[in-house]
Amino acid sequence: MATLKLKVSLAEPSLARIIDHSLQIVRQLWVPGKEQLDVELPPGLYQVEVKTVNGTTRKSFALEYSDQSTEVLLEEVAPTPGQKKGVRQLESEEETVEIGVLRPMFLMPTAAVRLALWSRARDEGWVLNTTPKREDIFARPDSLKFLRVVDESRQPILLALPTTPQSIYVATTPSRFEVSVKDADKRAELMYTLLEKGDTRGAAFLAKERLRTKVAEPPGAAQGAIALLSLSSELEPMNRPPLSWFANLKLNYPWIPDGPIAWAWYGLHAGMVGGAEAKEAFLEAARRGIPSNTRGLFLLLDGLEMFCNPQDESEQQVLREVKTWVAAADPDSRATLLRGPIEDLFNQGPSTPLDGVSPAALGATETKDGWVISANRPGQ
Amino acid sequence: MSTIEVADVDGPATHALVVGVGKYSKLEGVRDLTSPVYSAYSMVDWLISNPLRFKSPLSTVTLLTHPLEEFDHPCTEPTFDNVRTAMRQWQERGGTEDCLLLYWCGHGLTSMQDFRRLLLCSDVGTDGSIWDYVVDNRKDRLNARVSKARTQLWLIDACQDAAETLEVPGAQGRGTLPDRNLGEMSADVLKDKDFGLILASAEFTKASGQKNQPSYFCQALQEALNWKAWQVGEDGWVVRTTDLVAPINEYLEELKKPQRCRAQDGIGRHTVLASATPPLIPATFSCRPAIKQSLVRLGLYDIDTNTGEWIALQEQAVPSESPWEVVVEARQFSLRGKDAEERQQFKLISIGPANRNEELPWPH
Repeated sequence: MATLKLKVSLAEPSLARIIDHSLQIVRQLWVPGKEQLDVELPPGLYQVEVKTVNGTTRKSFALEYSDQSTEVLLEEVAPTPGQKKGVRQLESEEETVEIGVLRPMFLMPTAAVRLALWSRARDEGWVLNTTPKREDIFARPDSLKFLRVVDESRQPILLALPTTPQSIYVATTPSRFEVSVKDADKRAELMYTLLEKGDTRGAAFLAKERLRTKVAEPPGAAQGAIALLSLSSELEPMNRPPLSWFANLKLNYPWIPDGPIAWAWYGLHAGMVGGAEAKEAFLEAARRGIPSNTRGLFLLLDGLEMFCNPQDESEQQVLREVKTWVAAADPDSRATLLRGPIEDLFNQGPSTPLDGVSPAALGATETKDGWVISANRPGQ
Repeated sequence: MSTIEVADVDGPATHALVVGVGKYSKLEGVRDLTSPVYSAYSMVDWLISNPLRFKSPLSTVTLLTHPLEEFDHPCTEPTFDNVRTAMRQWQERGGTEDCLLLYWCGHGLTSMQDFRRLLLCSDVGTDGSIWDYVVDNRKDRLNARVSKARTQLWLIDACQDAAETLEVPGAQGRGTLPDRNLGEMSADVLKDKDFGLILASAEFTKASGQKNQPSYFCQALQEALNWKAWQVGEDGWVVRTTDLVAPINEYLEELKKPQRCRAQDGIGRHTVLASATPPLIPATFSCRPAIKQSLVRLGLYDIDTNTGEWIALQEQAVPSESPWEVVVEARQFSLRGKDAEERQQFKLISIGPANRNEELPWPH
């Protein structure tokens, strides 16, 4: 064994991989910033690749790596050839993915938009805050939050917010009414970017990390748990999360609807959860409210359709309610995004449709087609 | 039922059901399509040409479509009753370790009220009835989950327009598989099962194709199965149920089509195709700057792991400024160039489905 010194000098966090001669990924490492990592590897041919959050892939040339230590530098600007012994020239393959930014349109926004916040943390139940402040939207990573955006003349929008939103974009022109959000958590962004690009091994690695962080950010753990349902087979069998991780999410965070959904499906596929237990979990998830991940919502519908008794009116009532959520959902959105008459979705009864604050009251910046509300987190 | 017996397989096998509905003569207002029929025949051709690329070798292909002069595969009319019989036989054919593959191409709808995915059979509109001849694909998916087969991949190449556009109330459709009582099932019924579902278009959007040609999705699917979707697995190269979406969408994007496919329902990630040898990749190699290319002879070299020496695999004088196009195995090579004065440059490269174009920098 010899040591491969891997120096990563990129402005953004990244996922670094070492790929061997047969293109197998032999090691994956999450690199939060500028770091030097020492990796023990047998001699051979390797290539180092880093994927940054915005979808950019940077690769070293393949390396003839002998029994002496070799140094690989990955940085923003390629060093000139021969600049430093042992440093390989870089090449980059730019693949920019636009995330959450609405393209400007030369139309003036309409003025009557109002924002309100549904949130739930611990056993507080769902609470509608029609006068939210910035900290209500951008703080409290333990709570589940849905932003309600209402325009007097159009279908209201309800969007699940990530644990740590960075910027919220509201586009409201005569031809468009859209809401999107950018997540400050780069691991979540990268997990989804890798998923969309078909890089499931990288996504699985990050999804497991998300599930592990459930104490600090339970909604983020729910994202990881739902993603892991189709990805866990990408992990070595001994590295796959045990069912107990999902059970902890389900039991210890009873305000997260995605927890029982992930537990039931993971358990069904592991052969450790039976039909009756799964049905109870799906009914429990529906009682908790709207799942915050679109995929979780669709899996909830699947679970209820599969297991609910067609003769049991109370179970069929739950199924009908979930169908109304699904019918209002935008299947292209990662986070749950519903459009339509959504006042009753939290079983709280209708509120005044136009309750809420204006974006300006939240310190939003006006753009050509709407508003941007930013968290002003460090590094923005 | 028209079933092609591709091979007697001793052990786990793949069973395919291919449906292409193009004629809807009983229902006014629904136009006939040519693309689904060509798509169905094209898929059957691909399947029977590649039986051993499946992890579990291909054993049977059942084809429901309309006859076409250019093709001599036996087929059965895709009426509702025939589809129901074929679906049941196909599901029953699958043993625990078998793989069940469905490709369906034709008119499709989505019910806005309860999100049913509805597929029209060729006898839709018989006796003035619509919904009795429409397959509720979502219901079938749920009932198929208790099938013995652990791996299923359903590919639905159909529009998902809102059913309400037909202006006929009560969009329901019928399941073709027996209803199951899943609430009482034991813990192992879904164990290790993977039910991949790929929809050629998103809900309430269209899938499309050119007249008398396989659909865009069908073309993209075959490109993905040929090489684009192959990935390195634990025991060689594989295509898994979830590997297809990204390369199919990449192909649709290359065609500049707005249509995008999406995966649904998949929980597991089972292998459908497998090979010990790498897939063949259509790659291109060139020099940078391009002006040097006409002066340089390019070659691909492999390292001899015993001696450490480099061995030439292929060499090519590239006479013009267009790149050297060559089909190579996915793996690492040394790309080398030599000019008339015997000056050499080389670069170690990885060629795979995601990286198939390389340039060799040449000093000024």
